Amino acid sequence: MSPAPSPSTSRSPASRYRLADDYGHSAPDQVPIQEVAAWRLAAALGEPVSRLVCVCVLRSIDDEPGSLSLLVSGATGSYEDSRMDTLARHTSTGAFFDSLTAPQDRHSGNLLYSADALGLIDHGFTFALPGHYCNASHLVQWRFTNGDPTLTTWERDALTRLLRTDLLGGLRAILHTDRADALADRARRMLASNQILRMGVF
Amino acid sequence: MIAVDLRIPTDGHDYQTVASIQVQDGHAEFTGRRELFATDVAVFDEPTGTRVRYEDNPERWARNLHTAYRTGQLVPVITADTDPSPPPQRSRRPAATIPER
Repeated sequence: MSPAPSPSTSRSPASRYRLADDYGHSAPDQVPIQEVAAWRLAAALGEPVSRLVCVCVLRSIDDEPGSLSLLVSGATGSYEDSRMDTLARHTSTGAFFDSLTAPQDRHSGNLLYSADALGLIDHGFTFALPGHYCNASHLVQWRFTNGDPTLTTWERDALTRLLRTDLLGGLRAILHTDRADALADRARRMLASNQILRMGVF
Repeated sequence: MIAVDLRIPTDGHDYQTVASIQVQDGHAEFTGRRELFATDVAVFDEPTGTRVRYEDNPERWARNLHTAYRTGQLVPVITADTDPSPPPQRSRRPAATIPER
């Protein structure tokens, strides 16, 4: 594909990393890794979660670490409540995945949808730690206000598999230790409470 | 005054403008798919290190849209900016995407 239509001039390191710092990611190289980790987790958990997250791999772009993901087809934006209601099953599944992976900026621009499908994009600022800033969490908020935050049987099974198999071990190979620990802790808390975690509860 | 396009990849090889915002003297005008602009979401203002909401400062909010739209799936592009003191570099190369086969 051709380069993005924006100028490709590089920003100063301080400017480039400032946004990552703002989200509590002091190691900006970890951002594309987290993009990939989110896909790997979704793929390992299987359907229906795996249908929401597109394939993502690491690539060196202009000698910097980056991520390359499949293009999500379908419309984008304005994933307002009425749309969430229409795609309630997908929205609930997305809320479960967000509650587990702790993205810090899940707004409508990071949700792609079509008539019968939902796609989650932008997992760079995810796998947050307790106390980290949360800018938006549309799906989780919807599930608490319009859906049912109680875990489904599949969701409980998925969390159990995550904790009892080597699934988490694979993620530990690429995630920072504290972020992998926080992921496991979220899974345990979700199982203990039998519901997803609220917005910003990492 | 600032003008920003939102562009989406058409077939994995090109980008198409699907919505635009132009802000002048605190007044915003949208064209195209207005709903693509998540005006309910705060953006990160790099020069000041603060969060900016659309209703508080639409011009600065539009100028920093790239901090909220960070993928290659929906890309904000500044097409005009008369800010006399912009930060040195605001543009960025978004994450890349490839079409599904």
